[in-house]
Amino acid sequence: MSNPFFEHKLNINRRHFLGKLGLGVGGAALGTLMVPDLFKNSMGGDGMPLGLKHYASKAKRIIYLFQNGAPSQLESFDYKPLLNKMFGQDLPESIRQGQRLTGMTANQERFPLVGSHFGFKQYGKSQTWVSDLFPNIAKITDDICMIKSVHTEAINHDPALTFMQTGAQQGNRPSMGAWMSYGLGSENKNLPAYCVLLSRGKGNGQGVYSKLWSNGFLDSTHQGVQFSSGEDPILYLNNPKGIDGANRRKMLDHLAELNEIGYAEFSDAGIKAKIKQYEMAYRMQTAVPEVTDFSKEPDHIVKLYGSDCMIPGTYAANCLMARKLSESGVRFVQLYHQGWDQHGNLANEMSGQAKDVDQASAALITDLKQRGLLDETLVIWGGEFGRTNYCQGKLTEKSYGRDHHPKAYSIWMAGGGIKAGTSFGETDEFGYNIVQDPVHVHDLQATIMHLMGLDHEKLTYKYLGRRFRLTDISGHVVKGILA
Amino acid sequence: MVRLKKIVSSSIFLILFLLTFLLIFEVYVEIPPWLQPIGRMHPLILHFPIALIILLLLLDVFQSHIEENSYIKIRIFLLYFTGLTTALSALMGFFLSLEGGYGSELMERHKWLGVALCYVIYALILSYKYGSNIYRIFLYSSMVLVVLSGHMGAGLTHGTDFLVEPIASAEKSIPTKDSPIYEGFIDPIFSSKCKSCHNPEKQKGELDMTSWTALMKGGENGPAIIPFAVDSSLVLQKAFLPIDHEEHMPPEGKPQLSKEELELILAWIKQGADAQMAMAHLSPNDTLYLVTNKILTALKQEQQKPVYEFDFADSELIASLNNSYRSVVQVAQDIPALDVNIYISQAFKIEYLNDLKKIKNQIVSLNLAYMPITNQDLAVIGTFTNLEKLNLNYTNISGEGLEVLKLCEKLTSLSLSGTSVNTELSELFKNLPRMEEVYLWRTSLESADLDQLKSQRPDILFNEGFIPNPKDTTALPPPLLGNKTRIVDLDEKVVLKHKLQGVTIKYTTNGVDPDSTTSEKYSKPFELPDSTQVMARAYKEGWLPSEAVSFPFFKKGFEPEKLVLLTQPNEKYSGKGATSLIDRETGSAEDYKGRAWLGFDNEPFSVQIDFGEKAPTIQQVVFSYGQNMRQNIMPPVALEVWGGNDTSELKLIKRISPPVPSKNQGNREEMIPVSFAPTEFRYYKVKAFPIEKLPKWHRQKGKRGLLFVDQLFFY
Repeated sequence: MSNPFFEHKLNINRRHFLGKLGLGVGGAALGTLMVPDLFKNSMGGDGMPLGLKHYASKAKRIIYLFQNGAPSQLESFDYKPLLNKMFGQDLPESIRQGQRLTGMTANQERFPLVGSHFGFKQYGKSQTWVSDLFPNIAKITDDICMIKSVHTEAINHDPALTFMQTGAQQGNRPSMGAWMSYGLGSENKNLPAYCVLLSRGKGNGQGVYSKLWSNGFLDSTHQGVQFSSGEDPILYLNNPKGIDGANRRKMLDHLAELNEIGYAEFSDAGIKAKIKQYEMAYRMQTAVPEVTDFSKEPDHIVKLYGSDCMIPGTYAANCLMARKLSESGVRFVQLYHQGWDQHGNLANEMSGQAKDVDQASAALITDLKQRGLLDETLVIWGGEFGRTNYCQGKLTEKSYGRDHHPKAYSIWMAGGGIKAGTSFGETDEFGYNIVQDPVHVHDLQATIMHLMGLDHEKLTYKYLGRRFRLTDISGHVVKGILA
Repeated sequence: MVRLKKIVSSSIFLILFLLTFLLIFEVYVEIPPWLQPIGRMHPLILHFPIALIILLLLLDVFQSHIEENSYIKIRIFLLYFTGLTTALSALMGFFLSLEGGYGSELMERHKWLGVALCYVIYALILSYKYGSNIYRIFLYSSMVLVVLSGHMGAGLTHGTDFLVEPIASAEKSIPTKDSPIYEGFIDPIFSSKCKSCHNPEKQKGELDMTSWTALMKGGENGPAIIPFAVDSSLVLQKAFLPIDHEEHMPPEGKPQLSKEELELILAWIKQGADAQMAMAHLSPNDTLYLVTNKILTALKQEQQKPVYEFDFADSELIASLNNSYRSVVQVAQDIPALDVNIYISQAFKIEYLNDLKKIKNQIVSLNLAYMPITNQDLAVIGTFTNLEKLNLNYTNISGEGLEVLKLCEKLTSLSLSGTSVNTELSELFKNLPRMEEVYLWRTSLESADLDQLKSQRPDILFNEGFIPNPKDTTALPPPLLGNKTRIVDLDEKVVLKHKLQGVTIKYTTNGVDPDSTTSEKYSKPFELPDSTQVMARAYKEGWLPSEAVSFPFFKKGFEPEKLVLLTQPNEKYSGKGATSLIDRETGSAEDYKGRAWLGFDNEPFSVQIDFGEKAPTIQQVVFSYGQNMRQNIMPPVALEVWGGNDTSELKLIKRISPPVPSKNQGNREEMIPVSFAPTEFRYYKVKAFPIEKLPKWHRQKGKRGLLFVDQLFFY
């Protein structure tokens, strides 16, 4: 290094540095302008191509039977006889361990324990405990996996629901169905990949909001499509009076021509998207009536699902609709049945709610099974959190209520890739804390994605400078429930 | 030459600098596709440093045989060339590693050794002037590094066992029910968790665990395993000690025995720890059998990951086969097998099926449910030799067409629900050895045929699906209303319908619950004499009658010119104001937030009606309201109709007090007719009073009730 000229060149001062930096950054910026994707990863998430599973898995579609309002695990699937023995006694502090309570019971002077008003029996080869409220679900215990150790972070309905569906409590993220649509695409291009069906029981209700089936920051094609609960599940699909199919086709062709001219002039990608959506709407005109027509369902099916399934907008009708949609390739069918928030009058309200859902939930499993579809469909049944083992409000022999309990609750899953006829996880004798195999909501989401052939750490979307995923920054696949 | 040296030297420095920078910020680095080929050139470049370092070493060894001047020149040239290729291949390797799929520990070690090699070579270049000792240290360490990292790199591409593979034992096979449990299940556990410290070469505690005899002989504390003696077998004793106990085995920090493994060893010792005992010798309820079987199933599952020997289909071909009604998708991104679905029967064309010949080798699953295909159309499916799953539910096929499926020897699942399959299928299943599940719900198959199939192939699950118990009498769904509106003109008729075939509907129009004998049978749309409740019930053989449903119907009546609300509704339920009362849009008794309703809580409802100059003769006012008692929405306790020709002098024409309901009556829309002697007033006033205190049976007894008004009619 004896050449003074060369050595001089090594002396970079601030001015030189800034000058070169400016040129360098400018060059990079110019490059990005000319080749916009120069520094962009072309794959979805971490080098994963979109529309294909990351690895082979059995499940292709999901039907999520959401029990909105949080059904009590203690009157359904988590049998705790100790609570009946200790009726009226206080919840020991050693069990509660200072757990935060909602404003509804935090000021209660006592926390008297209360056991299930309904009996429990064991069913099937798996000897799964099910309460007398669910005689039909009891018959399919050998097809389901009962998870008794789910826990969540939120203690009130809206955040807990949002957390369950989107992986975050704030409500600005894409929901599970939108992620599936983004990661796996749609199977049947004549129907939305993500459909939402609502029903409401007579029990104390909590609302659901469209943010729960939002696409968040993902493309709007991944948004859940809410079906109407009336006679026509999707409105405005019929041609108006005086217009027939051929006319409509002609109109769309001309409209597309006009749109193409517009696109040639402005190069706006939105125009292309619009052409596509008109085309899909046109195809939906034949697809939707064919798929949603109940009139060809045989009497067998009505007896299986219960006669409510012929009344549009009921849970049973939605279960039947879910089967038909799923059979026709809808990736994610989301049901919400509202009315599970039993703060008081629990025994009475819960029997009504259980009556609404028991037969149709079990029927859905049986129906999928007899068509050979259960192994490729994942069915999930459960709420947003559990309910307390102590009574909210006045405790009498016949009437009691239960407050929100995020620390342990039960859900069940069936179908694609699930280890059927098993129970997973345990709560303590009080049904308050988990003592074995806890499953966090993010674990559940990771497992659901795994069952769909997606790696929850790899299906990401970069937004605001961060790669987002359904499971946020945590979640482990629960191997114990996989077949 | 000097100038070239400078350029090369500074390039090496720059690459090193860039590499260091990238390594520090590795988590943030994302590789754009155009850089990937550069990364992939890593295997191309990396052989230079290997050869060049060996050359440098040889040069050093044979230094005395070479003329000094040439030695110096060659060495300098070699040094710089080595430096440049090493730095380049390290950088490329870094890019390649980010492509994914290289997450292993071996990869990590290879990466850091490679990076270290880069720095050592750079140090070598800087140090050659300062004497041969320093130079040699760097030279020999770079030799060690290049051998190590080269070996690991080769391990990454060829697999770690590449070198010894030809001489190593044949690949691990899954033990069977006949293989000895010790050999098949117990010994592998010891191999992975114990033998590294307890083998003939390294006998910690003088214990060798590599053979059954050695285990029985044991170590310094006695036999490791004593048959039948679960408590005194040292293997178990040590394993069951608390993990922080000094004697616990395997030692803290080493891989521990899993619950299943402990269960197995325990059960095996309990059964006598016999070296030859196999699952086949045990009864299937035996604990040892059960735990062994659990592990065996897990092993089998691990091996079951689909392995396909055929090639990937051309991605352009796949793309061209995808259209609006047909989806062709790879089972997963790295698996060549294809999953095909065809949807929407009205749009079906036979080409959709026949085109699939182009991917006949790759199709493993085919869904044709509901498509109008017949026996002849199935012929093409016979060419799909790798087909595993076929869904023919609700297609127009019958038994004969299925014969072609015997060519699809890999079929495991066949769905035939809802088809008219009626022939003998046993011949077909003889040719399908892998068949696992057949779905035969609602087929025309005779039960005798099915029984024969079941006995012939007990390994196949024949699913007949849900067959309702003939004694089961579910109640029918209630009839539905066909009319769009419940406000009818003179010529409009009431339409009742039912979604099930063969249902009889009985109805009444006088508010009486319909029954099967006396009520009218619905055969065609009927006219209504007055505004009234239409009640209907459905009947069908094999079902209990449906619940009665009731639909209030209204005749249109006289239309007032103007309405003025004298009291204001609750602002949350103010609908469209007074027009809500005569807009003839009826509301739903489930949802009161809509614009159809006017809701009153504190004040009674009161409205003034103006019929204008030509007042019609009126003898009845019909008041319709909503009822949803759980939400405190109750009928009015009193209704008043006032009339007169001057708004300031209205007189009470009629007042009625409907009875307070004695129990919850469900959610519905109700009507109250108020009849009186014919009048011809211009102005009327209708008042309705909400209940002040909810009745005793109500959950919120004593609270104020709500009143929701829908429509007013004048006849």
